[in-house]
Amino acid sequence: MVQLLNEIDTYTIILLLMLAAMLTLLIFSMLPRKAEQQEKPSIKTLIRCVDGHEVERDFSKGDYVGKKVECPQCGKEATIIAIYSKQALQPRKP
Amino acid sequence: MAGEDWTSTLLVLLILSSFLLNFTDIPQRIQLWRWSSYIRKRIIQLFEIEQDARRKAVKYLSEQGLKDPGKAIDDFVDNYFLISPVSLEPTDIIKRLRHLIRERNKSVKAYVKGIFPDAPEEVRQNAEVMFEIVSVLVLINKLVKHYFQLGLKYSNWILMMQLALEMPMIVRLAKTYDNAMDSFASGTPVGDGAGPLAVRYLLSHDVPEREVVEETLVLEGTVEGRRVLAIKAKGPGSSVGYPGEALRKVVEEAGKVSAIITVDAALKLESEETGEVAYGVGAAIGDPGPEKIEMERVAAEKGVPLYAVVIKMSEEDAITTMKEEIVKGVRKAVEVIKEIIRKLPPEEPVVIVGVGNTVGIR
Ligand SMILES: [Zn+2]
Repeated sequence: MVQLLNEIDTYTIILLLMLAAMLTLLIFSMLPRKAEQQEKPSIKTLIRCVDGHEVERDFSKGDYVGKKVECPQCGKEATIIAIYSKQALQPRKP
Repeated sequence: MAGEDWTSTLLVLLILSSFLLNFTDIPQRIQLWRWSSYIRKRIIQLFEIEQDARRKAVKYLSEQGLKDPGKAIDDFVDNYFLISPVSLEPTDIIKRLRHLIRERNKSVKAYVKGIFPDAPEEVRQNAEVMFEIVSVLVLINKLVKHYFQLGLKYSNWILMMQLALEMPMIVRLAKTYDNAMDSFASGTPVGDGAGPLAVRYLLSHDVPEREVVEETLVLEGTVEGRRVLAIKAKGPGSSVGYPGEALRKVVEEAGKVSAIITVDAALKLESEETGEVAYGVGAAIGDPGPEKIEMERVAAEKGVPLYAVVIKMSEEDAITTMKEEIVKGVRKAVEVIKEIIRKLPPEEPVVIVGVGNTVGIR
């Protein structure tokens, strides 16, 4: 054991350490980057009733801003006033 | 001793490797190889994005009753380019450019009309955009491959490196276009629709309107006690109309106006937030030139102040489904416009121009 320790001198240790460092760097640079996490945003339709209140519901095909629809709450005449996507994940602040 | 042995070996290794690094092309070759394998992966990704966009277009077109949508796409892609007019002699360049743009638009419309003779206007307009998006994606792919192959052919590692460094942005752009396909296929408003939406919020959906020039409406109403004439493209199909030409007509018909206010989406800087509102002077419009110059000319000829109100967003936000922040931005912009209107003389009408793509907004 003592014999072996004597044979491993400083240079060998430095060399081994350098090799280990280079290998780790190489492995880290090869690792695939984390894919951008992005949840699919949900698309909403905002409806304004003649009574003045606004209702948000899921977008359905054929909706467009300015379309006359029935108010989902009271059934009165209403107009679609906005269609937009809502991000589930909040964007990261710098 | 073993220690001295190691020192000399290390020294020799050091000298040898420094020689290899400094006096040969080996590092560049290795770099070239690394960058090219990186680009190759991205090219596959770009191809997949293109295929995805194609699939979406095929799905939309066959849902609308087209028998061979694949062929319709292939016939469109690569064709319908526009060669910019000679700028060496700029005389009447705007006139020439406007002519070319209109002729191109006409031939694209004629092509889509040819394959969809009976479809409603908005279906045709949305199909047009989908054709254009697939074209753009094909073009992006071709350009990337072009530079990649040039780089390989001449072992131009600088070209390869530049391309590799640009790749994330290019892939991002391609993905954005692919996402835009969904918006146009489902007919939801896009961020660029902020201008037309602002016009609708300022007036409403019940005011009288008429088509003043092709695909462009003028709405009439009252805001803050002033008569307001508002211009926007005719929806809910995808269209930007001809706001410059419409503005000239409207101003000439009205005789005297107190101000022209343009509202549009504007590209934000990275540090800015989507939906921020700013105002200034000038024509807020991002067209190649003809419509914008028309607005500036009308304002200058009549000596009318020309204001610009912009809603900020990224390029991605502009062509994909409108974000909630942009709707909030539009509401803010409407308040800004009202503020401007309040300061104007009440006896003359104000002209508002809502610039942008009106898809999903009637
Ligand atoms: Zn209601």
